[in-house]
Parts: sequence; structure tokens; C-alpha cells
Amino acid sequence: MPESLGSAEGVYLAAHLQETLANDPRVNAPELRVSCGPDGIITVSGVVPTAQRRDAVVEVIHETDPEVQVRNDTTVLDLTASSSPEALT
Amino acid sequence: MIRVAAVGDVHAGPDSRRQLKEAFADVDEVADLLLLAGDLTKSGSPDEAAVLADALTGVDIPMVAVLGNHDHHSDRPHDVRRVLGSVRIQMLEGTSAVVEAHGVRVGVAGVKGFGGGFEDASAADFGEPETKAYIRHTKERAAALQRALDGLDTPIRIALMHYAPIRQTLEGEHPELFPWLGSYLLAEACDRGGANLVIHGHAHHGRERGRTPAGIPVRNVAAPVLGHPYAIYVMEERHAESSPRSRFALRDPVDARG
Repeated sequence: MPESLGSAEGVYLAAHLQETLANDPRVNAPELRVSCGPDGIITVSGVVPTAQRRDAVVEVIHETDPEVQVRNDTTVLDLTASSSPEALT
Repeated sequence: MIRVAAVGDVHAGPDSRRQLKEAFADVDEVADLLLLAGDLTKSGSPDEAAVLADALTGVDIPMVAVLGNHDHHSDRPHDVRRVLGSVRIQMLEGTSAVVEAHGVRVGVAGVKGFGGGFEDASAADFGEPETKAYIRHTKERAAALQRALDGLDTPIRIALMHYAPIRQTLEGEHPELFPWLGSYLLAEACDRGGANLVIHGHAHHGRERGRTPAGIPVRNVAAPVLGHPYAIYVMEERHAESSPRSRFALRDPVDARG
């Protein structure tokens, strides 16, 4: 068995973190995208409903791996804009 | 004329109470019917459903909803339905509801739906029991949707679901995920059942507009796609005349992008 899988470690870490974010009750967002760049930084993107859940993304990841660097690109859903009706023809 | 407000994927939780109250505060002034396209809760707990129910308590227009995959995560979909039903939301699953606004009767047939993929790239009812169970669930839900549509005699018929019936509204999602996001069987049920409008959610990274193979407008109303509290679609009674059940074999000449 190799001691380290090199860049493959990041691939598997990102995939496992995606599932962790789906199942953790603070986030529960399987829709988020999680990737690991060549520099080893984990990037999370997507839309979450609240700022609390956005902040929880980093919290949950650091509980899984305290060493990993996280770039949290998630945005908070904005439901304040008004809707323009569409006439269906 | 009827104004249909629609949104899905609001993922209610204790932390979204104020946001949801504000989002739906004026909906009965701008719409005649509110459709909720599943993933109404964060993880399918009745407490989360109660947050959304509270936000909708004062809404006077008819409300119709289906559940999504998030609403099943805690294995308590019946409790989620009960909580939402307590504030006059009509909960559908292979069933239909008829509402009336401005003298126009509108039928809504609803189902959660499921995955499996789309024409040319769809899983089959074949092989391991787990694969067959997956596809059979989709077939059952699609058949239930068509039965519900067939049972409607209203001039306007809307199909409401959580999973996507077509590829177009998934564009922006990773294509590898398409089989988990919807199934062509749902579109076929809508085309054969003579729907005039198809509403779905689930695809956060997708886009709003598309059409079924027979030309019926499809709208992905996942909240992250809309970017506002709900979409509003204005439908005239003549839509019924333009989409009779016999229209299945026809293609709408209008731009296929919706």
C-alpha cells in the first residue's frame, strides 16, 4: 500500500466532504459542489438558504480535517427581489 | 386568467423563519395560486416543516405542494405532510387538486417523481435488484402522475413535481448527475396526460425554462435558480385549447428553449 496517494488524496477528500456536508444536520446540502485544487485547497460552492448554514460549511469541514484549507464560495439565497410575471403563450 | 406563483427548494429550518415569512408576505396580492415544488425542508423533520407552515399561515390563496428528497431524509414524510396540511396546503402524491380563480378552474396533478435519466441515456429496469427497484419507483411515480392528470377535467392542467422531467432545465448541473435529478418518464406522463404547464424543482444549478418533447412549457422553480421568492406564471384559459390530450404527437413550433 502506498503511504500517500499524492493528488488523489485531495480527490477522495473532496468527494467524502461532499457527502459529509449532505449528512451533517447543520448543513444538509448535497447540492453543494466540493473540489480540491492542485494546491490542496478545498473549494465549496453553491447556494445555501441562510448565513448560518454558510458558516457551518467551514465548521463541519474543519471538524473532519482540522488541517485542510477551505475556500468557502457558497452564497446565501436572496429572497428579497420581486418577481416579474411571465405570460405563458 | 390565473396567476400561478411557484417555488421549490426553500429548505426551511429554524434559521430561515424570518426569511420565509418575508418571502411569502405578499404572495396573495400578486398570485391566485401558490405551488410548492418539494424540498420544502432542510432534512425532512416536522419541526422544519412547521417553520414553513408558520410562514404560510396567513396566506389566503390556495396552496398546493409535493415533497422532495430532502423531505424524506428523516423518514418522516407523513409527519411533514401533516404539518403542512394543517395550514391548508393541499399535499399531493399521485393525486390532484382543483382550485378556482376568477372563474377559471385549474387542476394540479402532483408527484415527487424520481430519477433514472433521459432519452438516450437512461437506466433500465434490468440487472441487480437495487437497480430495478430504483427504476421501478420512477415508473410507479410517473404512472401515478399520468393517472392524476387523466382524472382532471379542468381547462388548465398543471403537473407539479420535484424531480426534473427534461434535460433542458438541468443545464448547468454536472451531466453525470442527470440520472439522479430526473427522468424522461415524468415528461412522457405530462405529454400523455395533457398538461399545460410543468413545474419542478431539485436542480439548483439548472435553468428555469424548457419544454417537454411535445412542447409543453417546463419551469424549474428551484429557489437558487429563480433568485427571488417565487416565479409568477400568467395562464389564460385558452391554454387548454392549445394543449389537448391528443396533442402528444405534435411538437410546439415555439423556440424549444421555452
